[in-house]
Amino acid sequence: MIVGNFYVNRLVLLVLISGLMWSFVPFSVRAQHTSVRLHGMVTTEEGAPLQDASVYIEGSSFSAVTDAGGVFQLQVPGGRHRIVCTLVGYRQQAVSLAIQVGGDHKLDFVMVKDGNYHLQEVEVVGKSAIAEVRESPFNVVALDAKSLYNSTLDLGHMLDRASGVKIRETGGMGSSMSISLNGFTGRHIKLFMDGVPMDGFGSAFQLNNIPVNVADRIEVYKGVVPIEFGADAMGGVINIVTNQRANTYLDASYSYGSFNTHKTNISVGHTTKGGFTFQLNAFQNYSDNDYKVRTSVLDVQTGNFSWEEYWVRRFNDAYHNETVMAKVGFVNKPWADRLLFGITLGREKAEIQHSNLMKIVFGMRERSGTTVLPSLSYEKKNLFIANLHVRVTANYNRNYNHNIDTAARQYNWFGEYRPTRYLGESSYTLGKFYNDNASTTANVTYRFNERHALAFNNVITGYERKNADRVAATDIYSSIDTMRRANIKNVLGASYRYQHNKNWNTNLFGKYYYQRVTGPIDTSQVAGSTAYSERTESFSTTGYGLASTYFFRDFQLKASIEKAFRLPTDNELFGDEVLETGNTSLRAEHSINYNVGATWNSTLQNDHSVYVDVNGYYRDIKDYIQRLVEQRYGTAGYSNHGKVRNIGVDAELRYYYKNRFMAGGNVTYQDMRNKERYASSTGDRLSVTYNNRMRNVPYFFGNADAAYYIHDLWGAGNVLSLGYTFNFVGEFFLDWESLGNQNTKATLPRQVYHDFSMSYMLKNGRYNIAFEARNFTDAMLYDNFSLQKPGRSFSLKLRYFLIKRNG
Amino acid sequence: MDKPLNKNNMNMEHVKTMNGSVWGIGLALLAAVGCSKNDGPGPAGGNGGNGERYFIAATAGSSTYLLTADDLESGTATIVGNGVEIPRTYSMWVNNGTKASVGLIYAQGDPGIGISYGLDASGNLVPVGNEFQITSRFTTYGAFDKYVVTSVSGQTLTDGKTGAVFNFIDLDNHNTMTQRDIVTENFTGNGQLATFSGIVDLGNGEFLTGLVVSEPKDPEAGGGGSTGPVTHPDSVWVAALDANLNVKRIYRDDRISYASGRMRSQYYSQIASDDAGNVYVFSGSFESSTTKPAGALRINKGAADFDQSYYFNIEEMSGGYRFRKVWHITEDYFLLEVYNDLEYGSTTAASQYAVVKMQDKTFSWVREGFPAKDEISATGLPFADNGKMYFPVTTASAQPTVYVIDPETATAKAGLVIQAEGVAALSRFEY
Repeated sequence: MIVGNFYVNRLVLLVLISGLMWSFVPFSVRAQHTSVRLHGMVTTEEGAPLQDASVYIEGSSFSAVTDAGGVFQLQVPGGRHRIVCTLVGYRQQAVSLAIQVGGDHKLDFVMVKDGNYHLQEVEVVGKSAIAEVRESPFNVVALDAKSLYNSTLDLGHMLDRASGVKIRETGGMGSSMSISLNGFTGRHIKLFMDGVPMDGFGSAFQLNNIPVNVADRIEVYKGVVPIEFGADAMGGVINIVTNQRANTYLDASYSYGSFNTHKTNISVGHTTKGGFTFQLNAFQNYSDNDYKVRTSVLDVQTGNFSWEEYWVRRFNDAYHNETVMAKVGFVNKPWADRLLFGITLGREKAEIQHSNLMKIVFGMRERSGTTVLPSLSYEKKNLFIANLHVRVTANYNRNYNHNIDTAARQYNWFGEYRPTRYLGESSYTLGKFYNDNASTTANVTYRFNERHALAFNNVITGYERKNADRVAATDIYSSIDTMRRANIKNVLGASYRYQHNKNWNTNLFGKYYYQRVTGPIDTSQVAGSTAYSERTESFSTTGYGLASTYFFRDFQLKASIEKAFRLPTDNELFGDEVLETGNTSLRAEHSINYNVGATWNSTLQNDHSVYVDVNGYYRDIKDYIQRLVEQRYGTAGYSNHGKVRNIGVDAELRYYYKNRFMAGGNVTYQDMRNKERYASSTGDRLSVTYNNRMRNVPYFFGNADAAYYIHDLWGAGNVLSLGYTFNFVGEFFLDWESLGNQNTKATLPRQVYHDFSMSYMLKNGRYNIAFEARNFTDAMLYDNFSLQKPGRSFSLKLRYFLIKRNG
Repeated sequence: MDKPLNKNNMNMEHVKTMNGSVWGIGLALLAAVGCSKNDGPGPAGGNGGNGERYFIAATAGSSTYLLTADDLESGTATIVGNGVEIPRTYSMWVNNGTKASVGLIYAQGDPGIGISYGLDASGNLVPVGNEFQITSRFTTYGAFDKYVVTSVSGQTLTDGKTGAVFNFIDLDNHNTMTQRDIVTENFTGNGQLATFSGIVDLGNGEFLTGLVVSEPKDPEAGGGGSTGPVTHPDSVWVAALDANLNVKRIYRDDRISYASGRMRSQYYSQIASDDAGNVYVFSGSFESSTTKPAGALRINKGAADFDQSYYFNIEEMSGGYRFRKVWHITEDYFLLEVYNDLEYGSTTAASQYAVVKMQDKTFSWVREGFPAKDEISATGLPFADNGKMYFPVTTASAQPTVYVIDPETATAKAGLVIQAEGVAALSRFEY
């Protein structure tokens, strides 16, 4: 499956067989903001209940899907509406109703079989995905983005609300953001957008600068990952499912907030009767990020730091990015359910205010980047024969980065500076480099019958990095970066799905990982000189897993297990050849991930509905790749040395009262400990940190929210909603907990902060005005040691939304 | 909460009256991010003469843990539950007197924060002087006069010339830092570029530094360091500079190669003075093109030239092994860190040690009572005191241990054992 001349061809489009897009829809798509409860049942002509029928109000975004009993509930504004019911294989039904405010309305649909149903098929692809998520045996959380479209959140901050997930930022807008998922971070977690790995998208197109309005939902797979995501993601994957409405719509918004923050987003899409479709998404973010922080201040004359701390305003931290995503293609054609060509263009520019310690401040450093990302996706169900589904995606990305540090100045937090005699506030650079990435995914599923289905998935990803301007890299440490570094990875997955009956299904899967890396090696035999040549190593391993789920009344029980891997990177295998030597005998890091979970979802006495989800997990991680320095070997290198065990629980509780009130929250607690007894990989010296909690990992956190809706305020169909969110992260230590005098420990203090939001929707959501106050108690917040995040901020958002359903 | 910046916010009287427990709280506040305001420490002030304690800079994770001990020759200490946690890895500590030790951070890219620690009147560890920002990288360092000096060569100065940047950290003045630079192009008058290695205080307001004299570095060469091809590998140069970087003298000789031990971008000092004030200039003959064996020359106290009557061929005595680092122990005894293999490159391991007595030109391996070279996973900086060398060594099978090396017999014995991942440095403070 490996394409040898990958980089000669640059973009290899594998037209392999592919399949049904594995998509999951949130458990918690609820909270419709209208005034009357409309409920009823959808049945066949024979009276059998129909699941997954879609019921919606024409011309609005209000919709619902029937459950296994054929029952739906819908919150609708008062007034006259045309209410539509659709389901694959049945004729669409529609009723016009005048709905009085107050009380419940009951409405049943009787569906008639439609001989000519395939034209409606794609229209309901997203709907039938709901069934998939219900039956998913994986430990997955899905967050609905649609309910947040009136907020100013980016995808990262939306993700922060998922149980088990904590994002960590180094500052305000555009600062670097890392994700902690069940204690795993960095390379152990992989991000996807519509099933495509985001690794190489570049910093100009990342979670922290993409608005929620781009997404339909975010899915978080914890520990056990379906084969559709071909990645060595030992900790789990996060998949952003973008909005792929095949409707005609316009969604435009603008917000202004504290720190001179401007955000604009425009989404527009149209699908013709002939199946031609286009979608355009454009967004922009700008912020001065000039919030105040408290820090000691350097005296630029003496080079000394004050012991006093001062409130100072950030002055070299402005950030902006601009992105356009466009897709054009066809849907609902006999030869393709969906064929889309896309391109994403993004750029960003960020000033750099400080180093990884906030005390060390820069006045003129900056970086910029661009991303160019063409893509292709093809999807067809029942290709050639019934029940054979294929899906193919391909994308290529080139991102360009430019770091600028040329000022001969030393700044302090008051904005004062001292001229210096050398260039660069940190180390002089005008460094420019390109990253090239490509990935293709092919997926095929075949369902033999109601019980048995097979799926195959293959993902090839590759990247190459090199300097664009070798001479500009004057930092003597980066000279090695003038050498090419490349990596090709192939992950082949196969799964077998067994549906014993409606209540029990099981997924058994295996994954084969292959990787080939190319990097420089120092071949010099002469002391004090270096001579680099290129070398290539390949690497493979196999993982497997099992996931099963059982439904019992209002309960769903889940259990899953996977032996998961994280392959060594080129840097770990080869070292940087400056400070580190390579170790080509490294094994992949691996972890056995266990999950058990239970969900209870019930409606009590019609007006009250409760959702409870509890998941426990156990992670047994071995062969951690660590950087070790061994004097007898001369230098630092990477070694498979380390064991970590993590036991944790994520719990979520939500409650709804009619359409007026909802409250909920989630909490995560994990006990992640170093289980490596020995300090040395070759001897029996005991580690002083054995059984310590892993350092610098948040382990107790959660959030809670409540919303109250006032319907028909100042006009029928208008809704005022008031929302409140409480956020909590427990204190944790930067370094090993047991070491040092406890009074002197470097800690990340407990964070408690509160957000308030208020939005007013007019005309069934066509016009929206939203006000937000984030961190309104002005708490001092830190995700990373010493790096203070923004204090209290306000924003106002105006949004216009229009949708016209096709068919 | 805002207060105007008082640039002289050190309140020495206040500091003297503070007791240990207050300091403990103060440190906790300093360690906690976003802590409330806190009156800072100043220098420890006068020497109360109460006593002395050994200082241990141990490491684990990405932090440094500062401990004190009454004895380095026996007993145990631990960083579990003990020690002042500094959330940075200080691998270099420079001693200048017995008041404080200065921790220097070597950050590859970003500037680092330097600190100094000493003892308060009760013998508790406290910061002495302010934290300071080391903006330029450094590749060599040492103590000079009242300063701790760091230096990095091969910098592009604002006028486009290549030079070296020195930081002078004034221990008598709260660690006030003065930055000076010097053009290193054509430094020795032969069109070559100089890179400085080592700082040796001559006691008369001047210091000596070894020169690595080379062609300018090819910016694409990589591999660290500021040195280009060495076209005079059979010569040694040493420069005498004052605190304003005026070049007072340049010493040259052709009996040994340059006086610098190199690893990657680092230039290790190979010059040191004995107790009588004579400076020994070593050369580990790092440069592979040199024809000169590893050896040493001498600059007698106050002399303006190398002592032509003194030459010590160390490589002959070592059986062909060359060495990387040199430290003074006592009298004219020095400790050498010797490469493990006869053939070596920039990253070859060096974890065997020998004692040389310079006047007698004797060479003795330190083997008895000391871990074998292939057992040593890490060493800290050795600390000379009481006529002995105290050397922290970590092996794969034992916790970091202070080995006490007796220079007269070149034997070692295991002393204090520290439960930690490593020990970076030792010192002795008086209070």
